[in-house]
Amino acid sequence: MRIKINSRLIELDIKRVSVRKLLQDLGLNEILALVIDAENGKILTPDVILDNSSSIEIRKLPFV
Amino acid sequence: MKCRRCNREAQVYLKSYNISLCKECFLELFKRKVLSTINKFSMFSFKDKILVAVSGGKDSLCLWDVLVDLGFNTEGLHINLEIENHSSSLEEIAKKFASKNNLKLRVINIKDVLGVDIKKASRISKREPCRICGMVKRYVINKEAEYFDCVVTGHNLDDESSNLLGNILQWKKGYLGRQAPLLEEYGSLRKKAKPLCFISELEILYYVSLKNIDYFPYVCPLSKGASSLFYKNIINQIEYRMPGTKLRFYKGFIEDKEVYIKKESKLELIPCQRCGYLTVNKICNFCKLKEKVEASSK
Repeated sequence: MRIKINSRLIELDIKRVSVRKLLQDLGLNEILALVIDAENGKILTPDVILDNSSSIEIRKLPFV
Repeated sequence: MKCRRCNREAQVYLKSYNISLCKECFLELFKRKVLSTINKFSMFSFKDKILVAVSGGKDSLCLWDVLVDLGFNTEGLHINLEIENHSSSLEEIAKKFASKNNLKLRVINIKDVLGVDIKKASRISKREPCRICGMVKRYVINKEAEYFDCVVTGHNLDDESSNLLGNILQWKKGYLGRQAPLLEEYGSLRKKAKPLCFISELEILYYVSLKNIDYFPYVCPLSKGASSLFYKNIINQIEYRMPGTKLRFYKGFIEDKEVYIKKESKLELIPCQRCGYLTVNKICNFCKLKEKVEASSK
């Protein structure tokens, strides 16, 4: 899975994970950040399941 | 998740309201919420000339975008604080937004009004940069707003609720008394309004992302260790455990302020002997700072 956070790109090997769980694993949560599908620019709600082929962008609140 | 209003695919989930919304419904509700705040506090009308303080961050750009969308008569004001690796990007973003939307933006450079940048001013005055920055910005904005009916800033619910928490923890009664969505005009002090005060920072992040508004995503490097950021983190931890707390906390205070804070007798303000800005002392803080800056360069 390719993740872009604040213009930094990281790659993670994750099979299946929800947006909510991914944010938690990264020390964030759904009131501090949002996740955007890098392919189509759509914002993903916390229940959406991501897999290894997903490419996303995480936008955090600036103070986090 | 489906949109609670129209059943289309949702893009926004707001834990504080336990609601999921599609792009269109979210943007419509967002605008409605801003307009209802403006009307509730009689902030300004469609006839008024409004000066928007624009930093280049998401809050001020979101505010400007919404006000333009709603049909208000606005002009932007950007103050370049000359902070290394920070201010030039902010100015560029603010200018880009203005030109893209055909809006008028005035840009003021702090060196032109004070002679030095914020970092240097903070060093000379031996005060924290955030304190100096706030004071200088208030002064410059007020001066530039002379021919406007109202000044608006992008202060959001996170700013206001964390400020409130800090003021209560320290029992800063003076600040608590003045904390409000609208500060009425008083002498040469222009009317100031915060139309986003009931909207969380996350909602604003959703707004700018959905509308593809380019914004500067980093916090000021001089604000490291600032207590305001600490309080923001605390209030968001509470919010995560108890969704909706932030809004209830701030709204409750604003609605029943008189219950918590005795109405203070109005501060006796006199015009500064140097510049005429209303102040409690003979010389205002801005002129005092300017004096120190000038003395340090001799």
